[in-house]
Amino acid sequence: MSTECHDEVCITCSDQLLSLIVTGVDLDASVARGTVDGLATEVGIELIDEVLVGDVLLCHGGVALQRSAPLEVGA
Amino acid sequence: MKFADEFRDADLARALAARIAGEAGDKHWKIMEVCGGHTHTIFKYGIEDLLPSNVELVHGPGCPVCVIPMGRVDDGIAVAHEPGVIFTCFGDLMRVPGSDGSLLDAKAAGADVRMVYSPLDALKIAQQNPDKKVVFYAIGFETTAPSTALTLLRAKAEGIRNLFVFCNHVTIIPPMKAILDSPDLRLDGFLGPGHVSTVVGIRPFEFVTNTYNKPVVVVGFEPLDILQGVHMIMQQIQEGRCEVENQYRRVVHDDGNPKALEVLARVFKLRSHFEWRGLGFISQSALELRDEFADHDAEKVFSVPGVRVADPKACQCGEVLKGVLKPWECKVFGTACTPETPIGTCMVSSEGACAAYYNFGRYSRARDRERVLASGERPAGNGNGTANGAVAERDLRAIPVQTR
Ligand code: SF4
Repeated sequence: MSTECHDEVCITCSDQLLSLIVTGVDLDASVARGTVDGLATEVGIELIDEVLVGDVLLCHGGVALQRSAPLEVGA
Repeated sequence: MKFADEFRDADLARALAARIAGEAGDKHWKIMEVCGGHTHTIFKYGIEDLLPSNVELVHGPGCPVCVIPMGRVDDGIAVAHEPGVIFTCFGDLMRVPGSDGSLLDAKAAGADVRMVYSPLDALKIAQQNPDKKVVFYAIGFETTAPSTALTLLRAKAEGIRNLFVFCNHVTIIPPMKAILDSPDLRLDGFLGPGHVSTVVGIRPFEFVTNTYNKPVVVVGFEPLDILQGVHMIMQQIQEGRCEVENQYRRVVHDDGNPKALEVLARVFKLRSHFEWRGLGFISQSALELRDEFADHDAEKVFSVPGVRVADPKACQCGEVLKGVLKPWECKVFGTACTPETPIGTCMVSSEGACAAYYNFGRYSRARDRERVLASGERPAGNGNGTANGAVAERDLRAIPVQTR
């Protein structure tokens, strides 16, 4: 298993969604910055309305697909 | 329940499994989990061992890597070898065997093959290398396709012309229909794919209830999600109901993500047909780029061989993907075919049923093997008398119980 994979599953080509806790939003670039399992990353937010700091976004392939209430789904 | 840990509560899981066992009666239940992520959860948490032997989980075709046919891998490798190409793809895909090696082998032979986490990474590589042609090998179901679509929209908006997509995105409904139409398999219901449903919602699964009279429960990816889904299917049948239910409400909205669907519709159209490993050609089961994106379409810009390649003779991934065969019933499972040296795709991705059995399922396999050898009965999941499902006792003896 590649060390890049999350929880023994390839996060990129699998059907997984990862929870990202938003720490910053760049509306011009349509990206949110945050952490996934403590690792800093950024995701596209074109598909989610009004992303705010503190939101938990469920992401796949570098794009947020859904919003979740804080601390749900293992965030 | 609110937190993920609660969905992993061992006592609750045991209590729910006991309830399932109590309600299962004498009937042999066969429930297919469509999604490879569910397969992974089932093995990681030993859910099969919690369930009674007459409640059988059948592993379906929802592993994105597993369904890629060998010819499409060869096509990708051919493009990767073209001069001036930087070939990008997700990690698992690099190990999928083509007819003459994998993308990793192509990289070792000098092709510029790079792993990315997102097609947006490929877009960045294209921006940083304007003199190169950057190709992204897109795979995955409706969960993954939106990121490819957004990447292409950004490339167009920013005038980045050196990004190309080799599109192998597939859709979940047609293979489910193919499985339901298959005479090989008798199923009682489906655990619906939780994350695909985040995008498409739960309504596309209504054809399963309306046309095939099989219940569907869209479930999450924690062990209690799976067990609850199994119980909900049993309840539906026992109460004479047949519905699409949403167990994964904390994530999945019934209508999915309309914005994501809109983006998909802007960038992709349905292909007339597409080859699935093990399932053959299925009409309107995959996506291709719309004509507006032809300049970014690797299949139009590069000369792609497009040759159909038969799977290796020893490979029984097709039967595994249809749920007709248990992975360990494949003659090369755990011997010639391992995650380190995969012969078939199901052994490559950790979501593939064979890799899941290999990595997590050794106890189940040992238990089944012992039971089958002791009784002479047909193993679970292989009892429909199908041509491909006929594994003789001597074959079982020939398979060493994995000790890894
Ligand atoms: S053991 Fe290997 S060849 Fe056999 S079905 Fe699984 S992946 Fe395919």
